[in-house]
Amino acid sequence: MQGWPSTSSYRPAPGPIKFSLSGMTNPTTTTEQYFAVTTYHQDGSQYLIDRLLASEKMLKLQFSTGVVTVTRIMPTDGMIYSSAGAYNFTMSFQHPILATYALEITVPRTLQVLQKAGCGVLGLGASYLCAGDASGNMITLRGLVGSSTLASGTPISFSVQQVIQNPGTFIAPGEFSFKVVTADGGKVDTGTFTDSNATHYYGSYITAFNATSSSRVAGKQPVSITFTLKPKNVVAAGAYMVL
Amino acid sequence: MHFTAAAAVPGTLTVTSSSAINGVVDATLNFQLRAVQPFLAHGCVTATLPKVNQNYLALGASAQGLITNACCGGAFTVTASSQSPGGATSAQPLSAAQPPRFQAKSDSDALRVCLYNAADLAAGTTIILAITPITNPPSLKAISGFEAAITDENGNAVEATTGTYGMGTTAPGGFYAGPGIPGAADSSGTTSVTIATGKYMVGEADQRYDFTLYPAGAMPMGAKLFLTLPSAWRLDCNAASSLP
Repeated sequence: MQGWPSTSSYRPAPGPIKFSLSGMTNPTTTTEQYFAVTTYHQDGSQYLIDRLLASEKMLKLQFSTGVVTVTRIMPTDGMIYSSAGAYNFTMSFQHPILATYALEITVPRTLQVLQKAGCGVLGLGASYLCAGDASGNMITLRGLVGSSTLASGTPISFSVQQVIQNPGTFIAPGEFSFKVVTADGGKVDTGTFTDSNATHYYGSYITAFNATSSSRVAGKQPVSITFTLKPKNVVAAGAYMVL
Repeated sequence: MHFTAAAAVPGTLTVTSSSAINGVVDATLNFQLRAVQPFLAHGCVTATLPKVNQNYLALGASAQGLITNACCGGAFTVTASSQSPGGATSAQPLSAAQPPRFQAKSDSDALRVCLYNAADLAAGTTIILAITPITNPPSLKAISGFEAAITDENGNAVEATTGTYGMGTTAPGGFYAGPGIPGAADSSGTTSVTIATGKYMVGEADQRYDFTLYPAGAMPMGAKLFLTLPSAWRLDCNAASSLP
């Protein structure tokens, strides 16, 4: 960008020279931003007067992210190890949310995000995209608001379906973190929510149980009895059974 | 008694600054005059010094002398030396009876320096005057109009340069960070950029960024200013700008 400082007078050093840029939009990064300035004497040709490099870090701006305020996280199915249910989220954002923004939800390691290229979400518009990343334990939601803009501070609720597996014990999940990012990855709003409620989860159960003796003759001994049972959910390594 | 040569016998003049940077105010001027004639004992050099902001005078600037603040009673120093045609260098005392005399003029200044060399210096000797402090030209456009004349101690002409000589810089000046910027009216001023609304949150729209710059060099009328935004930050070209 270039401009011509006031041509009505000669301005001796050291100035100051003052000018403004109006109608600008802050960048979506928290990395310090540095401007550079060069002044020229225009006399047929251009002759350098002064130069301020960005690397001198004299003209700098740094921006901060807004806040994601989460008011509720609740599983609809509390059975340990289950991934059949959904997780309900209610939250609001400090910045307006555009259609191009994405919401990244990092789930505590007590829970396990399943690897899914597409996952179901209730409560969003028809054009949403949901993906589960097992290694990062993160869910990414795009198209939160369809083609419109969600106004700053407006609460939204949605339900992420069958992409989070419950823990194997009756514990509180821990800290979820949230990040709203622009299409090119710039941070807009961030926030965390610690779910310290240890009553979300309950035990699984045995769906079938059968015992069969090796002999149907009364009083015969010894006999062997074969037990057959079918657990509802995952049986963790190291689990034991009490008969 | 010496017989003076006719005036306007060409000498050779080289003028340089100790600093290559625009606008510095504490540089040393090296004024090197090679005499064709022998330099007489107690000889004098008159240096014609163009105004340092010579290139801006037509733009409304007030004339500013090359020697920093010499116009206004500011102190400056001159030291002299000589270099023989064979290359040997010697310090030369200045005349106590005729100390350096500065004369401000409307379009250039004059500085007369009389040496106290006891004997004539051989023809082809280079007289070197080091004058400090001087202010470098404010832009990379060189200034011109340096001239030199050699006289005897009574002011009789011996020889003089023909034509004029120039001096330029090769590196742009900078900006003062502040606070405490020399010459600034506001002692707390800093080179800075701020957001008028105080909203430093990412993604905030319709903001006004206010820039304050303290340049080392003067800005003449018609000067250009280029502002470069951070590379990852796209300029909103639809926004109205108050850039002058």
